[in-house]
Amino acid sequence: MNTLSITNLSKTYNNGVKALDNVSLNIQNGLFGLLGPNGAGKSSLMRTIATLQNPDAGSVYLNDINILEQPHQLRENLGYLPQEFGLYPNIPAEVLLNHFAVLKGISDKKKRKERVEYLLDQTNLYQHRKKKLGGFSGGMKQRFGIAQALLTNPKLIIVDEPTAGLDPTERNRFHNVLSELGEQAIVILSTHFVDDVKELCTNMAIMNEGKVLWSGAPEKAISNIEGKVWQKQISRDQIEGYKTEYMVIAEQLFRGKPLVYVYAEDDPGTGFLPVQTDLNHVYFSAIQR
Amino acid sequence: MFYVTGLLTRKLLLVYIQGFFFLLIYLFSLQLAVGSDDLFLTTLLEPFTFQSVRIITGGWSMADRVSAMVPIEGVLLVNRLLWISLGIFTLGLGYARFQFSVHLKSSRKQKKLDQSEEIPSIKRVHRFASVFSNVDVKPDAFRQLLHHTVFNLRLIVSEISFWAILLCAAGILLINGFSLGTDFGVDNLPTTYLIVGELVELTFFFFIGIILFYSGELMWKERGETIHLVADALPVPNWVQLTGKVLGLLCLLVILIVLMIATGIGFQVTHSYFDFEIELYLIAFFVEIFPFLVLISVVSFISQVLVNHKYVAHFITAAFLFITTAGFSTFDLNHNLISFGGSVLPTYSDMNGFSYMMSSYLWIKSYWLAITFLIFVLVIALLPRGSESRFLQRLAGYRSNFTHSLKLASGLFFVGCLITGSMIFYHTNIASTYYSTSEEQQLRADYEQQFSYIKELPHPEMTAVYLELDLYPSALSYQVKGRYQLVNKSTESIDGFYIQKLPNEHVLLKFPDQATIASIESTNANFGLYKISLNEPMLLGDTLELAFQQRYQVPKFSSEFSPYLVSNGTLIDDYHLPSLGYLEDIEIANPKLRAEFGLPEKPVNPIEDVNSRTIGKANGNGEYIDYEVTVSTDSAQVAIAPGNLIKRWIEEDRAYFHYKTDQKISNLFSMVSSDYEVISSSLITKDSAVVELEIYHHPGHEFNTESMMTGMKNSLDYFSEHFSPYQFDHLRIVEVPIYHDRAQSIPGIITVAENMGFTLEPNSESIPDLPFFITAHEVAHQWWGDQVNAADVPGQLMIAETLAQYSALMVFRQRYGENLTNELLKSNMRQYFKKRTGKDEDESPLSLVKSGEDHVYYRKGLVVMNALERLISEEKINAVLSSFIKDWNSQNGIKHKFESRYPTTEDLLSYLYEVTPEAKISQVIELLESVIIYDNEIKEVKADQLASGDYQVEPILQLRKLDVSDWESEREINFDHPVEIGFYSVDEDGELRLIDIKGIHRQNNEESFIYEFSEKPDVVVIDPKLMLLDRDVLDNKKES
Repeated sequence: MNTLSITNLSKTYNNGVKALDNVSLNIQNGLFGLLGPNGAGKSSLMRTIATLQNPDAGSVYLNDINILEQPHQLRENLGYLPQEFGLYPNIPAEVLLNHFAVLKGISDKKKRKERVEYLLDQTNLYQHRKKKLGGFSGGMKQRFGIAQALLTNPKLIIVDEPTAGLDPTERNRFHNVLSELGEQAIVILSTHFVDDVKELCTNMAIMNEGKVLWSGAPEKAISNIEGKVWQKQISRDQIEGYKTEYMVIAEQLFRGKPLVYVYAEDDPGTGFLPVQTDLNHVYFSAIQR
Repeated sequence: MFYVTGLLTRKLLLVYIQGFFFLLIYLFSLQLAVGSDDLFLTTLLEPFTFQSVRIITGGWSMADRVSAMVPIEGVLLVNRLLWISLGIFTLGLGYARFQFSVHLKSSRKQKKLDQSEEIPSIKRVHRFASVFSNVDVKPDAFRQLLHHTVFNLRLIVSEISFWAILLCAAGILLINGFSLGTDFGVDNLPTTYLIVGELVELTFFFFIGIILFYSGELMWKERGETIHLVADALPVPNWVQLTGKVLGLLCLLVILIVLMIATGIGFQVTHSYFDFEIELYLIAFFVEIFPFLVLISVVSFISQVLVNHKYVAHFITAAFLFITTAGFSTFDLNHNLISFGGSVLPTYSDMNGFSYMMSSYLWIKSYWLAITFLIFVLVIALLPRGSESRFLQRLAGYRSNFTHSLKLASGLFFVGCLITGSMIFYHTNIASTYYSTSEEQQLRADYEQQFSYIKELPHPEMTAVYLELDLYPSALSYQVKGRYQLVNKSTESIDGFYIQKLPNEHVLLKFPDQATIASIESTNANFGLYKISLNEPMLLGDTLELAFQQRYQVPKFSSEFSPYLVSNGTLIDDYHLPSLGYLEDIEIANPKLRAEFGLPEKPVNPIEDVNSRTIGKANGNGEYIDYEVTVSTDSAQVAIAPGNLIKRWIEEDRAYFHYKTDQKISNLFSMVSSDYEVISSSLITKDSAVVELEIYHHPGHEFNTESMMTGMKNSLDYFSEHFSPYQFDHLRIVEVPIYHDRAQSIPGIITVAENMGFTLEPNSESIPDLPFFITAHEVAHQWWGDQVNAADVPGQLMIAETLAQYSALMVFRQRYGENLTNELLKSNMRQYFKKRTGKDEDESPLSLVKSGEDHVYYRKGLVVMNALERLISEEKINAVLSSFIKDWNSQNGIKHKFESRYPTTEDLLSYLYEVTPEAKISQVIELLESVIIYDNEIKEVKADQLASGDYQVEPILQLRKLDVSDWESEREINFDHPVEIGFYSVDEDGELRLIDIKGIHRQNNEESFIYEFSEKPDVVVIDPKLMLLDRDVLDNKKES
């Protein structure tokens, strides 16, 4: 069992944006979902854990590795897929993956070849392995990125919005791989699709504006707000009024008219109906609060 | 054009490549200019018009260059139109293509990707493998480094831009070829070292460019492709990241060098030269060139890391290189510990290899590598990694990034730097005395101010020199015991005098106790000036013997190269031995520097100066001496010195040579020792004297020895028949290392540097036999210089050098005929105009030529003497020279003895004018005593067949005569000069055959003349005998 303990992590960028604000988390093997809107600080947190930037304050330990002082040791145990990345356009996929495999320390040539071919196959890139990366589509690039993150047996896998750009089949397949990995390693997955977390994660954290708003098991999160979310269809000009009167956690259009979801301990009455709560409501209510 | 390329491709590197491409065209057009007489194409093609402007203004005077606009006409106009229209066309193209190009490209790309997306997975492998790998994972830094290096190499090689640059470089090599040309207009042989030099010269900027650009490219590759977040999270230490990039680039350089070596060998093969000397290729590239490339590469990466901005870092690297090399030296920071990269090796000599400087060179390079690597290691911990790269942030992480292995490596390099640095410092500043350039100049100025009065003191003259010289070439040392016989030839008694040692602190001079000497006082320790006080004054005519001992050990570690004592090809000349009195050579010669140090201008003795007329060549050291020497040397070597070889023996594994003269010789001698092969022959001259001829040459340098031997024979024959008998019974040509870079005549011996004949391309039907000409010129110095010394006044060098040129010209023409002689004359004319173009002072007429005006006494001299010979006749000139020698022979000339002085050009000219026909006197005076050039041209030739069947030909001429005695302006003067026009037909083989030569003497500025011939003249030439110094001989010829 691996443990990643993040304590009081803070980071302010030069432009004044507070990316991480006193973040503390304790994460163990299994899939851990980081949920939050764009700019919530998910990527900053992941980059900090992946030794790609230093925090202003706080500490991060993977088991007994102090990753701020022993970045190299962490890297030896890390699989990382950044949110956005490119590839060398003139190099064939197989060559680059092999290159990464050597750099990650797979010295046995035969085993390395097997591993590279296996991962290319897993990511459905085997038939493209001789192709130059410059010709890869966004989805193919993303799959290649996943392949390189899984080359070795990392104790810590960080994947930043891994399924963006993947079609549903690919996404499914990748989810299976991730959950298999979660049996032996910590897998941190960031996403703004609540469904991803719902399907996969044993634990999760919701982030916004650099802060962890809530963390724990998804089912616990749902049970916490069970019976406290209500919905009502209203007309467009009523929205502002509802926003001041109730705690609106989300609004959406239903047949062209706004449908508002509010959080309330008790039935607010006036036509609100109870809703079958799911993670989405947890997410929205956390962010709105 | 650069703009449009950038716009269309959006790649800065392509813009750079385009720059290279223009360079290519530029070099290509330059190449057309080399050796070609037709500069039209060059002028037309060359994109920058640097050269075009130069060609057009080639013969302009300085004043015109400063004040006149370059006329936009003719070829220059076409050139500009060509390039401007190309520019406009490109701009138009850029405009038309721009809007579409981006759009088109992206849509095409989209389509391609969509297709690839649809391809289903065809083959499934490893069905049963698990996502968990069962492989051992152990990142090993050296394995990573190796792989990373190869990968970075691959990254460069996979760039199209790289191949474009390579193609340009190959293009430059192929088109530009190797310029083996020499000042003589004849090529050198394609010897390996010369080829390496050419390869390096032609590609050096490519190498610098590749290093600068690709260090930036590699540094920014990950960030450029936004793969850095993946790459930086890999368990790869910083030092592997960075070193892998450096090594990748260096591997690339190695591959390029190997390609260049292959190119060089290919070139040699095509020139039927098969002595490849692979080892020399490797040493020259990997020992002489590569370390510097390594230094630049590492510096370039250091700057990339520190600056962390690709283009600013390029600039900073370039600025650093410029400042620490050229910049430092202008501020007198020449010390090997300070000047980046340190010294370079002296040129390679076939005889002496890379010389004894190799070891100090390697020490210095090791020092610079150590210091550069040290800084590199310190900078590794600042490598930008991850998503933040501000300098302060990187600095904050320095402590955790400065790992143990980095500490260890920096410690090692620091120790290496200390050891090599202190070694260099010890040998440069402690074991030897180090003077910066300005300190040395100060010492020279002090010497002059303190001691120049010695010049005025009466000194005895040397009348005999006896030497026992023990050379140890392999140990780089010698010792010599010598005795000078001195005679008081002055007008007062002498109670003391000065002896000047060779100014080199490793040369030690001692005087054994001598009864005649009261005291010896060292008056100047820096340069070694000794004051000798005698027990009894030397009265007029008294003789005194002075004994001395001198030792020299070349330091094991030298920071400066002295070419005299080397392991193979030692040349110790009279200058190496103690001289009498004050040594003027120590004085600062440069007039500007003299002013800076408050020294008066050096006076130029006017030709009338009576005092100067009594000074010949050997200055105060006496004119003629008896000379005897025993040289011992390493047993494998042969020692050569003036005089007859009395005895030669081997003793205790050393070779001894005893030379002695049987007559007085000029006080000008050398002792040479090397591992030689000898070619011997002999000659019986017309006056039945037997002369033994020998050529001592480096084994393998036989290419031109036959020409040289013939040159000696023909010259001795001609000169002894026409001028005066040859004074010795032997004549030896001795090859000396390339460093000496000249041929020199001393009594009975001609020393010739490797490159001054031995490694020139052998002659052929179209190539003038330069080794023959050079030999003839040097043999002529046995007359002009040895038999006749000229007075130390302006014009001295006309008597020494121009007469030697004339003598060689006559011998050359006798052997090779008119055509090749004309080639020689044309080449000399070109050299004259080329050299005079850069001058910023008035040019002397030939009769008053000063030292430094070698284009006048060699180049113009040859043309003038050719013209004189045409005007006066060979026979009459030879008669003049014969009586000139008879009167002015420095040993027994009648007038020399009678007037107790040396001859000047005034004397020579009066002999010449005496035999000049009245009608030609003004032409002869113009040649000798003025600075006049011509700019003649045939504009057009009209030819018609007459009813009679004869041909009427009318050449239209432009005749211009210019007075260029003032360097700032040229003045057209009346063309009152007779000139010849030659008419030729062309036979089936394309050879010119003379129909007739017509003389014209223009009276009223006519521009056309009409002639009739029975056959059709195909070609018309002005001044076919090359009697006029014409700025452009090419337009003197026109087909009708």
